[in-house]
Amino acid sequence: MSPLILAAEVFEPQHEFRLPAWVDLDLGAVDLSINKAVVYLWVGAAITILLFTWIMRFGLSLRPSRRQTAGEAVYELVYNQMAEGNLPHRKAIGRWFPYVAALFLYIWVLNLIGFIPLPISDEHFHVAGVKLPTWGIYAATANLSVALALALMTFIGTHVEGIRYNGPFKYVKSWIPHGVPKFLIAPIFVLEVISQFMRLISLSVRLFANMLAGHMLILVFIGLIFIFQSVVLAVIAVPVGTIIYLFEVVIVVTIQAFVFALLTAIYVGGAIEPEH
Amino acid sequence: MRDSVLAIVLAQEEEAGNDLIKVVPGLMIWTAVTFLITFYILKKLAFSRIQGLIDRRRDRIKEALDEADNARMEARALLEQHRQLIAEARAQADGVLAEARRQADAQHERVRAEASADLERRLEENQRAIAAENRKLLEQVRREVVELTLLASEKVTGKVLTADDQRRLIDEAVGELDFDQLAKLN
Repeated sequence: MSPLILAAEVFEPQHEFRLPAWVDLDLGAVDLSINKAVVYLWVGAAITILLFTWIMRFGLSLRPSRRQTAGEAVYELVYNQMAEGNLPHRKAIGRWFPYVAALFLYIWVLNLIGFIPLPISDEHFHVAGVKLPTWGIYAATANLSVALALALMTFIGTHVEGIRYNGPFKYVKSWIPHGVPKFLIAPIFVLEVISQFMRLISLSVRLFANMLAGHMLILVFIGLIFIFQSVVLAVIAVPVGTIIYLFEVVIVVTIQAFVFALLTAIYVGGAIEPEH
Repeated sequence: MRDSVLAIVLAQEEEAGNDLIKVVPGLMIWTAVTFLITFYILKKLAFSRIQGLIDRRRDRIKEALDEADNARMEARALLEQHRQLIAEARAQADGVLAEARRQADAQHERVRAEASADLERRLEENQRAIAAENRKLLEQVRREVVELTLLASEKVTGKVLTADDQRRLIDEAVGELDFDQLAKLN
């Protein structure tokens, strides 16, 4: 077998997304084993809680410091751009703003730490006989289950809120546009039910696919150097990989979190007042 | 060679691809749990605190704006009051000036009238004095004429005239004199 084929066999970027159990934990039929994705979720949650509690709670003053200004800017971005514009009234904002804001911040942190090399890996290396985890990049949001779970919470919350505000009959009736001929009501209702589930799929797949694609692109471009063992290729692959990396970190990370939270606010607002 | 590499990579993709799109209920539960904990803690510790601060600042800004509005209204009222005071002061000054002018005119008129009256009075006095002097002179002239006449008559006639003769001669002499001419000569 040629060295190139051997290199290709060794380089498996998709293996970065395999999730072998680190600690087996079964709860009946459900496998709650702790793996790399779970650890990333914990790390993301810890960072989100500590960072935003620090900048939004401590040392607050009517004349804000730089830290407080950053906290207020993030808070007001979510409040003004997502909650206030899409949730129909103050009561709905009061109830749903914390959820939308927490969703945005949590996804943003999960996305961001997905591009920072961390020593959370299945693979290890040895330094002076000490076994250490390999540093690598991995995003929990590049896993369909994570994105789907977050989307499912929004999906359930949306419909629960729609039924709570409007009653089940009025809420389901609101899915059918006014003035539709009677013979079209049934097929349109079916289409609307499908579209509601499509929201769940689009919300989760958008986040998952974008994050996965970004990681795969970076891994492939960097991996090409090792597959072909070519310095000349590195001249192209490293800048392109860096550009993709910066694009992901600066733009995609924030946009995906923003879009997810924004759509959540839009869906919930639409469910509370369907005529809007 | 490239085909071989591609075949290996595709085979690996196919093998691992299922992992990438596999839905794992356990991981979904972990996701929901960690997110809900994050949501709860942020809601309790972070959002409520910063929202309270933003509300307090909004209230302070509103108070400051209200105070600024009140100060502006107060300043406007003071300005209006000052304008009124200035207008009143100007009106008073104009009044005082007009009164002063009026008094000055009246004083001037009075002085002029008094001077005129004084002048007339003096003229009349002078005229009276002149007339009196004229009469005195005429009387003196008349007496001298009479005396001269009598004296001349006594010398011409060589006799002492009686009272009736003297009276008749005096009347004739005086009658022939033109006193107006005499007054004009004086």
